[in-house]
Amino acid sequence: MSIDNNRRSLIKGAGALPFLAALSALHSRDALASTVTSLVDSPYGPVAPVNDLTTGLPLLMLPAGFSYKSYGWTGDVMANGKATPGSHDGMAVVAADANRIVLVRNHERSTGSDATFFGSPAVYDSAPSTVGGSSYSAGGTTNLYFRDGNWMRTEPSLGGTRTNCAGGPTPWGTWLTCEEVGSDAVSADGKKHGYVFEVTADPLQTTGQPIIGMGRYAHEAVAIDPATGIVYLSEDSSGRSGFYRYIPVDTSGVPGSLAKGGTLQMAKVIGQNNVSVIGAGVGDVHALEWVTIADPDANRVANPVGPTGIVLSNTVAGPFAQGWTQGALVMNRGEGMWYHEGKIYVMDTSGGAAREGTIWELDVATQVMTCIFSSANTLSGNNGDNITVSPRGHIVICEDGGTVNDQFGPGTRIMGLTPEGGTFIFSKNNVNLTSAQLTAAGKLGSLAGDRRSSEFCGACFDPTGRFLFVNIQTPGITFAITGPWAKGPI
Amino acid sequence: MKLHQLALAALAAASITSAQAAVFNGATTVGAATVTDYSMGSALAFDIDFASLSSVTLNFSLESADFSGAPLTFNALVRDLSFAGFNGVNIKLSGISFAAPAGTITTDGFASVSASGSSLSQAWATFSPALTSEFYIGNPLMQAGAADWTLNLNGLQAGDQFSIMVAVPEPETYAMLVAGLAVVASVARRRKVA
Repeated sequence: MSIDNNRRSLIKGAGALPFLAALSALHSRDALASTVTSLVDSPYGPVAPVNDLTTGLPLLMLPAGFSYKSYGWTGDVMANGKATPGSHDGMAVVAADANRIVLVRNHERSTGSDATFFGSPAVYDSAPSTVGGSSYSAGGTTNLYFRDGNWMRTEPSLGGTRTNCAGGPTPWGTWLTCEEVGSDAVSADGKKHGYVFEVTADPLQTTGQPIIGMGRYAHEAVAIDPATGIVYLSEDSSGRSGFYRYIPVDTSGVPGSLAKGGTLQMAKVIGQNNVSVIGAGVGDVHALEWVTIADPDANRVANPVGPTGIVLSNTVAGPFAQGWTQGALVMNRGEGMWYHEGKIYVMDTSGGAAREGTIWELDVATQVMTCIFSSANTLSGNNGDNITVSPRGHIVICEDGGTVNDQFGPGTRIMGLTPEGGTFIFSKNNVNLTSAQLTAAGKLGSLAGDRRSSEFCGACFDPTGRFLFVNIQTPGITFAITGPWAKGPI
Repeated sequence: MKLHQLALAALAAASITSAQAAVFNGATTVGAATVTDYSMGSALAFDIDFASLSSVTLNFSLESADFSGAPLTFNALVRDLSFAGFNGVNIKLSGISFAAPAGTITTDGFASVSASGSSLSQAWATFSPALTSEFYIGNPLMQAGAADWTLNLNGLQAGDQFSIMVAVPEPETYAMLVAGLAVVASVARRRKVA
């Protein structure tokens, strides 16, 4: 018999169903009485080591009934014959068409000796980091293909960038990758870093052109309001992080439209100057206005002074300085972002009284942001980083603290946020491998070691809501996890 | 009716076609499910997306063309969009029977087929752990080691109607069903021995 190539073409439409079903409010926080978030028992049950269906190794702790397949390890051979780069980070599904899912995955690498940029078809900066040097920009992205529950292949898409930390998907099926670079240093050909780039599902359509209008600073993540096309952006610069938005001139929503220019703005609390939201507690609310950043590509500035005389010591990014002098607010370290049902969520990884992380929920219609998560301590939240919203409408947090030691022992975690506002442990990093184990599994023996403190990152779901994709940054592994999601809110 | 169920019903209505020799007369669903027909030639091929633990009955009429050329076969790609997990599947024929050799029931590897069996009118499998992604009745993805289920047309004629029910029931329902099938199989074996 012959199979119609479009056999699974309805997956796109069917995939929207879980999202349609998640019409209830993301969080009913009426019951919240505390200003901090507490750890609660997981509705999925306790976690325990589960063997990887690909390698047989116990890489993750998961609740009963959940299983996973690993893929795209650092050093695995990609479709072009080159080794998969390491330092996996932000990731999202950008396409789910007939027969396949395409994910774009960041590699948070700074500089290295690879002048081939792992064979990427688009290279932004091909020059040495310094004149006459032999070190090159080593970050970038790779595209992963997943079909019928199985990993198919990896292709490089973007190279010649640095420290690609997180980013965000666009409504039109591309990925915005963010360089987390807080420096004015230029490479041998004068290229600056600290930009956002667009990556397409087809690597050959990726241009490597920076979206300069989105600013040059230590970018972390983006989230797009599909109704307006406005891009919201976070900054990861300790104690000097702004919360931005980019209003594109071209709102057609196609690959390349954002690079045609736009206006960068920075959030300010209405009627107040230079508000610090760093120590926020659950329930804190701020109504926002936005101040325009005239020169998004400006160099860094030392000791900017706010309208009421507040001085920020040391240097800050050029866009941040322009916002600060107009009274913009400051976060501690802006990290992961996600859009869902009219809300933008942004993680301040070192926010809150305990400096263990806060999550802000911005209502894009009212421009009011509310703190919905403020970790009480390391147990309830250990420096959450990347976040996503599940198809069932609840927040999933990738932790980056690496210091937690909970009832299941050490190991970074994937956390869920309950409708009542508590956090629970969904998964733990259990990567603690010998060289012999890795070699037997066909992986690089050099990846051996206790990696349980390495961050989870890049969490995202497939459009049907059956698979959670996520990375562990070091040694660099990507996972597809499935299980009885209906047992809990994720 | 919930919004997503309305959307499912709309998708099901929009996706039903009849391109194969055996005329597909539509699906009867219990609960929320989407049926998409990819049948071509003598191969009855469907995608079934269950948004709840329920059953789908595919209804057909035979045409004269079914009695010439390639045998009539059946396959389906079945997805769990209930997020609850399938403990197993039961496939039941009415008005037609399976021909030998039996086809296969396989998974995408996230869960395993822990047990399976078939008779002339039924096929079943259990999964471990409960399956939450997708499984394959027959060989919809043309994978090595998998085979479609062939339908036996002996004694039938053009105009006859038949149906194929695919059920992913609640665990307790499934336990009773498997127990019942075991009894049927046991009786059949005793009769054969006798």
